[in-house]
Amino acid sequence: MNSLQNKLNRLRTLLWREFVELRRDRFTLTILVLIPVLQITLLAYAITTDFDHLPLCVLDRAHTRESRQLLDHIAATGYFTVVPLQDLSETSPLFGREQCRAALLIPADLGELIANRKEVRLGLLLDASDTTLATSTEGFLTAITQAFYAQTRLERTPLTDRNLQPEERGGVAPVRRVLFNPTLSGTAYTLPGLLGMICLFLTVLITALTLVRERDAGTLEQLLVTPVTSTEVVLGKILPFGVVAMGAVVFCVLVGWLIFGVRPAGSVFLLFAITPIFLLIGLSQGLLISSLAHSAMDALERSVLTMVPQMMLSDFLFPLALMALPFRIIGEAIPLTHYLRITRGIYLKGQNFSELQSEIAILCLFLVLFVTGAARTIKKQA
Amino acid sequence: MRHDRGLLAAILIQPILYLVLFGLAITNEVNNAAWVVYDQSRTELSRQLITELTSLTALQEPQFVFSEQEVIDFLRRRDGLAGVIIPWNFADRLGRGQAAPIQILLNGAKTSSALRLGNYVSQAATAFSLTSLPTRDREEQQFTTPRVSIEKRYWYNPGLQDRFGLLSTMPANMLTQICLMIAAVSLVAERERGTFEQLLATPLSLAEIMVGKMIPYVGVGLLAMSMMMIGSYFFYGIAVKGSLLLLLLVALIFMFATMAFGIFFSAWAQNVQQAISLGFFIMFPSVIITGILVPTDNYPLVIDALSRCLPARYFAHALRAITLKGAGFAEVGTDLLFLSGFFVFSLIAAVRVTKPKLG
Repeated sequence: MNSLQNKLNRLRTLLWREFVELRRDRFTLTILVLIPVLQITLLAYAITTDFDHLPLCVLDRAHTRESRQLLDHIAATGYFTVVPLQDLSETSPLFGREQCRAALLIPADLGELIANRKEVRLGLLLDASDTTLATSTEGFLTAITQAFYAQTRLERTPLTDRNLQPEERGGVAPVRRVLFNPTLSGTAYTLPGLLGMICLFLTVLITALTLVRERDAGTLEQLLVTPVTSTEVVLGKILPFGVVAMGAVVFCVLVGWLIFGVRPAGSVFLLFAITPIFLLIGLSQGLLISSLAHSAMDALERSVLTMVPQMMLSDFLFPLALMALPFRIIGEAIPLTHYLRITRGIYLKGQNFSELQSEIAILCLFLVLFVTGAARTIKKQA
Repeated sequence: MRHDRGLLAAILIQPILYLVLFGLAITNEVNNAAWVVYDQSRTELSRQLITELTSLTALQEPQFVFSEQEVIDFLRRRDGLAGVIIPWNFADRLGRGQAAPIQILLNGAKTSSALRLGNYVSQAATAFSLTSLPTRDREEQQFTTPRVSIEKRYWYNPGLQDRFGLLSTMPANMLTQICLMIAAVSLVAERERGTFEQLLATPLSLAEIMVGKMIPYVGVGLLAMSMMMIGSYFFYGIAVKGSLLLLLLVALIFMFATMAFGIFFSAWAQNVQQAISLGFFIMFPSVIITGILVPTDNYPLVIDALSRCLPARYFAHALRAITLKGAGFAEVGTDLLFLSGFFVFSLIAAVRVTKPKLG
């Protein structure tokens, strides 16, 4: 009992020391906390899949009532702004300057084709350097032109014949139902992912940088000759940062809720209860990096090199489900992947503890691995 | 610079890492995605539909489940992208010439990838009813089917591969990191050690010293960028369509501009840690809102204005334009102008900010 008391006392002293240390470098702390705020604002606004008045070049070879109606139709959707072209050769420089991403070519005989119920073929040139933009442009334009055609044909059908038009025709009619995020809002999807990214970034970077500085100053060696165990050093190091990072997470959840109107469908308390596990994983990862690094620059490069693959293969920005098998296996071995499943599960699907318990168990396993790894490396160096 | 071999190695691993990740791993193509089918109808026709859905879209073979709950479970617990439910009266309705709805359930927690898979499946379903079903009345069909089609050409990237866009702009990401973080931070490190003051005793002007300091990093940056471009060409067939000389010019001006910007900012940092965190503070927007990963076309006004203040935006645009589109001086002239202006301003600002500290 007494030894436990001793241990707790020692830990308390260590914690106090770290908080004092943290307060001393207020500049770094401020910047590091400002980064997630900046990140969340920029990403939530920038990563929107919503189309809004994208410039669309149009070469109207028909110049008839029909072609003008079609252009009005396109403009009325609000997805595109029509930029008229005089000649096809203008397209290439416009694409080069990225003043528009797609060019629609209307054939000269559009009016006759519609009147004679012949097939209308519109040309579409797409700047495919961004594939998502190209495919959605194509999808939107296909839908708009088909609706336009159907409406124009209907208008030209004499009123008496309209009822004779068959209402339905045999065929497979796909009906789409979107679960969990019915409006397919980009912000609602990005925000829970950002939470994970911010946790990882804050924890890895703060610890990696601070510990290197302590080693440079020689204060780490002083600590290691005292009777504290290396696990205690590890805990003492990472807990204060954990508190700061947790504060940032709570802040981001609030910003998402109040400013972007994205709030978790599930329990926000469950989210806050699981987050410390992931924070501790990130912190011990930072410790590992810093104990292997020779200088602050080295620590920086190592953190970047470890964070880039985690960011890419964790389903944060790029869908893991679509990747080839070897990358999906690597993705499963990244703690962030599992944490993102939890944040998205809680935010979008409203999942509860029992549904998420396997992911939580995996996170705990990672935690044990990383903490023992960090403690071992530090002990070896002492 | 030569002293730090480890750092050099760490920088040069990056192009390889990006080549593998962006070239092989990251894709929006749905060919590998898992999906499920709940076939209530279990008829010849429904099986035919499933085969067609799979073959038309080059999707993987679906897994079969036997209740609606299982479909929802697949989306909810196993985080699958999509499930298709074919109702029990599917074949009956088709036989009677009526529309037979099939349900496509999408995982909204996956937004764009689920949507893409859903679009593939519904397009394939429509194609199935046009090609595989007997038409009762040709006249009737001609009257109702939308007789409008779009013939599209994918310029610059005929195979519609995501890696084209990503790999062509990746040097902007890499060089921003090298110039902003490493170059600026190492200057702070020199100031900390006091070696920077020694240089000032030489008869060189402050601006000359700064540019001199930048040159080795420009070398490393160019090396990393060429690794990236050579790799993209040999492994993925992405050749630079425009002039290499123009590309080199843009890259050089960009690197000098970013380094001057970084040095200007790092004047506020007292030690290396602070310089690094400041560097990250500027680097994030430079990577996120400059069109390297997300196209700038849909940005709201404020974000768009902000991104126009960052040199990476002009560099990313010039990279894409020269590499993929073969653009010449006419298209990237404004980028060059902005980057040069940025360099001059930042250098003046950096010299101004550094000077009083030394006195």
